[in-house]
Amino acid sequence: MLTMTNQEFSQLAAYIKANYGINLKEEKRALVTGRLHHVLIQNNFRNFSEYYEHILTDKTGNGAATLINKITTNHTFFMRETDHFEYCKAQVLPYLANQVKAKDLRIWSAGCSSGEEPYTLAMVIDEFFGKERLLWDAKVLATDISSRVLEEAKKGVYKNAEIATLPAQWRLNYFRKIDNEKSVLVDRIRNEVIYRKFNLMDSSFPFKRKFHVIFCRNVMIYFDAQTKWELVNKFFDLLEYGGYLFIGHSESLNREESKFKYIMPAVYRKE
Amino acid sequence: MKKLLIVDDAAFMRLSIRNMMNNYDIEIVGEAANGLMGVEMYKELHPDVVTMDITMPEMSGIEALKAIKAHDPQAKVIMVSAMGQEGMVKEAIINGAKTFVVKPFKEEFLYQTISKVLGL
Repeated sequence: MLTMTNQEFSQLAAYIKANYGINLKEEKRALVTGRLHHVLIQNNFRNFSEYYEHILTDKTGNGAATLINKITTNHTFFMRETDHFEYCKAQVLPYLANQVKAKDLRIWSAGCSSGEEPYTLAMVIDEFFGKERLLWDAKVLATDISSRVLEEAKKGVYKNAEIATLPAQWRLNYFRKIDNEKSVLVDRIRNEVIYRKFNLMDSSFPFKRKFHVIFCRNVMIYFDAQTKWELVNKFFDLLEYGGYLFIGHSESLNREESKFKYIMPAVYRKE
Repeated sequence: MKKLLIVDDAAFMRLSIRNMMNNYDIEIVGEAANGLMGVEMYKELHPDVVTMDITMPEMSGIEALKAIKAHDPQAKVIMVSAMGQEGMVKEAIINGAKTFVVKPFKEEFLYQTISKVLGL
């Protein structure tokens, strides 16, 4: 097993911080080494210094893309933090259905990983509107920094065990069994999610119109306080008045400093 | 100078209202971060007018309004509501709120509303 020296770890951590905002603390060193080990072996790098040099000089950007794909953890599952979706259905969607006269909902899943969150949202929306669904443009924008997870997400294929926690009605209506192992989302739901690669650290956000709802759950846990503060302010500016921000249950915004109104744990509103 | 008490759990909103009133002859006598504090501060400070947020921890704006009106039937309370809270605004008016403003609002509008309530 290759080892990573202090200097190598600091270099790599500084690079990742500067480019992606992700704050890798010392205790992550073993994890990072483990995740990158295979990349080094495969590409015949003798040590992490050589690998780092390659990342810096590689003009194709492929090296950096692989690095970030390996570093970003992608723990997610359907209906993660279920109460958020219940709140959406009970409060947020009824409010928006009444408020948004143009019938175009703009929902953003920022840090969507392998697609469970945006697809769950698409299913919640479909179920909420029922027959009225056709009258609404309610596509979910789903972004992630990792092209690898986006490719996975687009396929909409999940293990049967992964969707077992979903309501039976959803499994029946929204999934088609491929075999005993896997199922695929029906096109009706799959087409309701638009995937784009996007780095939340980019200085300019290319969105023409403001959002009604932003989900950014368990993403900012990797950011330091300053980066998180700046991003939360950007989210505030990017939301319509009356719009909602959902973050992870282990995260919180400082109520004395944040412009957001606290609604319930991990749910905030721009008022 | 007329005295205003701001009741809102969001520090950002309290600061916004305070800044908005900087340009007018309104003195901010107190800021409360929840309904319970709002009621206590009302009793202590005797403000001429209150801006009351609706959704707050500890005690909601509507409960605080009721408590203030029970203590002082002449109290002048303006509800500060967010979009989509029409039902709660109606309930507040029934319970004695003078009027309401919907966020986001401009400072001129807030001042006009306060002036009207105070009969300035």
